[in-house]
Amino acid sequence: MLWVALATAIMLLSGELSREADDGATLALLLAAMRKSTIQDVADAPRRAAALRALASFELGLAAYRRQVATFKACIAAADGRYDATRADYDACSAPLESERASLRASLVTAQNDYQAAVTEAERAQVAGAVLALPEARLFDPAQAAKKSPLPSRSRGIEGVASERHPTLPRNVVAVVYGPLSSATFGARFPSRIIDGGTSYAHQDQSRADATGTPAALWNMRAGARVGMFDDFEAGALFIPLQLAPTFRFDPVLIFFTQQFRLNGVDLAIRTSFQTPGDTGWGISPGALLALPGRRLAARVGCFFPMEVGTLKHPIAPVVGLNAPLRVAWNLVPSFFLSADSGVAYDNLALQGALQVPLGFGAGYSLLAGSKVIDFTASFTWDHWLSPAPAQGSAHFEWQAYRIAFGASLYFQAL
Amino acid sequence: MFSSRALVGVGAVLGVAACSARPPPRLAVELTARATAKAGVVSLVVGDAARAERLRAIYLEVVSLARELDHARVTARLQCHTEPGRSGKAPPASDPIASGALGCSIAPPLADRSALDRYTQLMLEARTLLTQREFQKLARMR
Repeated sequence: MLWVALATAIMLLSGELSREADDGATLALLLAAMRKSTIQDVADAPRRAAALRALASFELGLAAYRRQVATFKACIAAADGRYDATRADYDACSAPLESERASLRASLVTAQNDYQAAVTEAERAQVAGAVLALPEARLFDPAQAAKKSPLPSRSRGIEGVASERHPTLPRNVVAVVYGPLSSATFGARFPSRIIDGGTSYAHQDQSRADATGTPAALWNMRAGARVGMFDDFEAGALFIPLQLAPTFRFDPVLIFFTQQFRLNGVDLAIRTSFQTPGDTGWGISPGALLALPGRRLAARVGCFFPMEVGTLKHPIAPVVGLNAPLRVAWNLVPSFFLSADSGVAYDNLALQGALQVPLGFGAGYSLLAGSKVIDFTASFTWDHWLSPAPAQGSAHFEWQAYRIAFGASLYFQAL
Repeated sequence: MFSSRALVGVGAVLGVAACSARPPPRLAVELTARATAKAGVVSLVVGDAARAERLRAIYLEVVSLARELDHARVTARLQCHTEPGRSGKAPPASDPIASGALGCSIAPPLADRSALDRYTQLMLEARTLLTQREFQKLARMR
C-alpha cells in the first residue's frame, strides 16, 4: 500500500497520471465548463433549457463511449489471459464496436444540431471562449495529431536476469533488499564499516581485532528498500540495520540516491550515499559507477569517496577514504549467476600504507514467484585480502578476515 | 518538532495519493504495461534462449504498436471533424461544438484496424512459443 501510494504520488506530481489516462475525465471537465457557461450566458430560459438538454446528450454519449471502451479493454485483457484464445476471441471484442460507435456518433450529431439551434451565434462564441480558455481545451488542438507520443525511454517492467540489470531500478519497480550483491550497496564501504544487505558474519583474527578496535566476530542484519522513482532515478535506504552479536544494537541507516545515464550499451550512474550518525558521526559517500549490462556477462566498476565527518555536537577530523570496487557477474543460465568482486580500497587517506585489495565471490538465484522476482544471494568476501604496500613490512595477504553474507531480495511493480 | 510535522505532511500526501481514484488508463497504456511486465522476466520462465528472444521481441513490438494505436486514435479524431460534408463549419480553435470537435472527441470513429490486427497476430504467435504452464506464469505478471 505504501509503495502504491508513493508511486501514485510521484505520477500525480509529475503529471504522468493524466498523460496515461483516457480523455474521459478531461472531456467531462470541458462539458461541465460548457454547462456552467451556458447557464450564465444564455439568458432566454426555454433556449437555455434546450441547450442544457443537448449538453446532457453529450454527457450521456461520453458515458456510453467510456462504457464501450471499458468493455473492449476488459475483453482484450480476458483474451490475453487465456492460453486457448483464438483470433475469433480477439475479433469478438471489436465486432460490436462498429455499430455501437456509428449509433453513438449519430446521437452526438443530433445533440450538436440541437445545441446550435438553441443558442445564438453570440452566445455560442461566449461559451466557446470560456471553454477554450481552459488548459484542458488543448484536447481540441489539431496539432496534437501530428505529434506521436515518444517511445518510453525505458521499459518499466522488472529486470529479471541479473546480468541485464541497470544500476537503477525501472520506474515504479520496488525492491525489498535483504540480501548481498544488490546494486545499491555496491561499493558501500565507509572508513569504519562495510555495508551490505542480508545477514552477515564478519570474522577477523584477534590481533587485527585489537588493532582496529572492532569485535573479532560480528553478526549483522541489514534490510531496506529501493524504489525506481523515475526512469533513471532511484532512491532507497537500508533502514533496518542491526548488529546482532557480540552485542545487539542499531547501526546507522544507509540512505542512497542514484541517477543513471544510459549510454550506448554502458550505464553511467552517479550515487550519493549517507550514513546516519553513528560512532563516527555522519557518513557520506559520493561517487560514480560505470556498468556494462549484458545477456550473460556484466561488469561494474565504481569510484567513491567515503568520508565520516562527525556531527555538529561532536565534530571529528574528517576521515576520508577512496574506494574503487569492481564486480563481474556471469549468468550461467538466466536464473543463476556467479559473481566476483575486487577493486581497491583506501579506507583512510591520512594513513600511509592503508591501500587494500578486497576479493569476493558470490552467487545468486532468481526466482519468478507470481508477479514478483526473488533473488536468493550469498557472498564470501575477504575485505582486506591484499595489502600491497603496508606502512610496515612487505605486501601480504589477509586470509583470516572474511565476511559471509546471505539473504534474499524481492522485486515487484508498485503499480 | 519540524521533522514530525514533515513526516505528517509526507504521510498526508501519500494517504491522499493512495486513496485518490486513478483515472482509467488508455488501451495503449494497458497493453504496454502488460507487455513490459512480461518482457523483463521472459528469460526466467522460458528456458530455451531462441524462444525467449523471440518472445521478448514480440513484447517489445507491442510497446511500439501501442504507440501506433494512440496515434491512430488522435488522427481519427482529427479527420473526423475535418472531413468534407460534416455540418461543422467553424474551426475547432474557435468553437468546439459547432466544428464537431466535441462530438469527434467524445466518440472518435474507429481508427485503422491494422495495429489491433497486428497485436492479435503477435499474441497468437506468443502462444505458439509458450507451453501452457509458461503462459500462465507470464500471465501472472500482470
